[in-house]
Amino acid sequence: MKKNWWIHIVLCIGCLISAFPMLRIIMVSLKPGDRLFSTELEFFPPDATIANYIEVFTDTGFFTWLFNSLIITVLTAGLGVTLAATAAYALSRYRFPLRGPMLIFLMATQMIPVIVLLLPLYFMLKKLNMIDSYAGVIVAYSVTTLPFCVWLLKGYFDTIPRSLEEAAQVDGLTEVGSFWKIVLPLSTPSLAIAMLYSITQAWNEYIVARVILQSSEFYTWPLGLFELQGDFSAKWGVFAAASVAVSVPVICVFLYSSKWLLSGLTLGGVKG
Amino acid sequence: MSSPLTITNLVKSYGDKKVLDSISFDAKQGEFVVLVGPSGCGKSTLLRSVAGLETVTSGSVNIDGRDVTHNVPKDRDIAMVFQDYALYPHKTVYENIAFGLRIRKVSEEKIDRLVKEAAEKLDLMPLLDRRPAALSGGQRQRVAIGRAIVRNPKIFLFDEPLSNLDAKLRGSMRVSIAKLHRELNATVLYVTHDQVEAMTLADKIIVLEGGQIQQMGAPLELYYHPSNVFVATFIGSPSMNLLPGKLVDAGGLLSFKSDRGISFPIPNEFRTQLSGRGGGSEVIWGLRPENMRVASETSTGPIFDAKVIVTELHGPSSAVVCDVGGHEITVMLPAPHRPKRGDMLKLEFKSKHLYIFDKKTEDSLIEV
Repeated sequence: MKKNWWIHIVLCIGCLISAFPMLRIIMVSLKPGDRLFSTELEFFPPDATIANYIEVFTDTGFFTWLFNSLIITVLTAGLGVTLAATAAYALSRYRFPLRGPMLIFLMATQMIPVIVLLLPLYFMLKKLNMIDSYAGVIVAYSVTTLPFCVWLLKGYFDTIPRSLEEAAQVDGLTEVGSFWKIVLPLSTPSLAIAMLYSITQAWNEYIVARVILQSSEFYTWPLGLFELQGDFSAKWGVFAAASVAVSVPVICVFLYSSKWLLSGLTLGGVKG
Repeated sequence: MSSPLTITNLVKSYGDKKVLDSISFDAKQGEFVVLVGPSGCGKSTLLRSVAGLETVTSGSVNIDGRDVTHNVPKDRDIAMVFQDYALYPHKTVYENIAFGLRIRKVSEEKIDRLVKEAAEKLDLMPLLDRRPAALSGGQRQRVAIGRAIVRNPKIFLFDEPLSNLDAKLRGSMRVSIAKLHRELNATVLYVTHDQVEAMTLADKIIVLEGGQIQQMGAPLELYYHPSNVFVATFIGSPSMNLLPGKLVDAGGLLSFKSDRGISFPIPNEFRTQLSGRGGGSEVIWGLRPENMRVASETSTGPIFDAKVIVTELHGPSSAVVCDVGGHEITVMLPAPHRPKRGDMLKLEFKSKHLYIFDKKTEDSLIEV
């Protein structure tokens, strides 16, 4: 323990650097409008006010943005993880022609920046009449998160012994049943990671949403927040308050999901 | 009444390679059938084909008079104990045992009764709330057996269930399985590569090699009447001694001469069975280590001079590896005999214990 004191110091400095922007934005959100650019480093300003929060909740489309973001995020994560889990299971358990190239192709798609995909994605969704709709963004987000999730889940499924499914099939389940009742419950840590990845991708995404969503009634919170910036001025206090408010759901999801991130779930089932 | 299990002309191929080649046998009610053979002989594939975990290329599997060749495992009325236990790690021992019953929508009351009955039989009562990770290897295997017996299926399939256990536990589990079999009067198909397990548990042993049945029969039948060299060397420990050589006809008297010059007369009782194979026929001579002994002054049978190479102590007896005229021969000697390396022994055997095989086909030439 004594030997590792310097590691603790490095970690503490890292934590401070990571936490500083968040602390700063909370601080800004609590300051009255006339003191935004003061350089004092107090965390809780003496004249702290929740006026910025009140303005966000009453004078902006905050709840519409939040609702849109929630709908899009939940459906993206649900659709993405469902598709990824089934695809990963097939890639893990079956041998079929082009399986290897398919895996490499999936990996390769991760190397292409989203910005390159924007134009073809736009034209495809336009042809499918999905521009300016939830469905358009959900499809776009799902397919972009899919390759990573497929690789992640395939890797985890590979570690689950085949004999567990065979035992379940002898016990009376179908192949689909053994996937549902044995493989998926044992894969909760990787499913939780895939879900969190999809959620953060969908929740924070701006560029694709900017191109696909054109009516303000469909705006997600990143688009809405951008709207708060006027051409000549920006209400930074309100901006900060909105930023803090939209972070709360994601923080809650992360805290809740920690209980699923268990290691050693498959221990003991088979001879190690 | 139909047999609980009938396998007819079962073939399983991967491309051109046949891993099971025209396998046919049946198991009677309550019979303990052991499939035995070296690694890669097809015994596990055969078991998995019966379970429905492998598709077959041709042939049929009948369970209790029903053709189940193309049925999925759940529709075969079987239970299986896997080599690696295959317990559900996220479920307790109770839930592991109850799982198959729950899927079949058995009432909670009945599940509870059946699980506890099975747990009593297997000494698992204090462990019902534990997860598999908190159990020892032997306990896990008992849970796997509990999961199988609780459903009372037509056939029990065991895939090398004891191979992951240490020697002592293996011995006690072997006894438990034998007791359980007798108690349940269950029809069992059991795969092992351990011939001791096969000999002690089986009513019928099926010896497999290269995807083909080499011989099947009662354990002692295989021991005393092996149909070929493979069965002769696979059943029995230490393995049967084999000497390749020729039959020599010296003026009407037939004798055996090994490739390195050891010779002895062929007993009269074998001559009729060897008729048609005169002098010059290439054969393999076989003799079990336990059928040889140190010669006494009154010995009448053939006697060999043997030089001890290695002595392995087995407790009440010793396996002594000797050099006999350039051939390495193993002999089991009872406790008083503990020869050292380099000692000279005179060994004898009774001619009734002799086996002779055709060198080319490796089939037995005599009925002992």
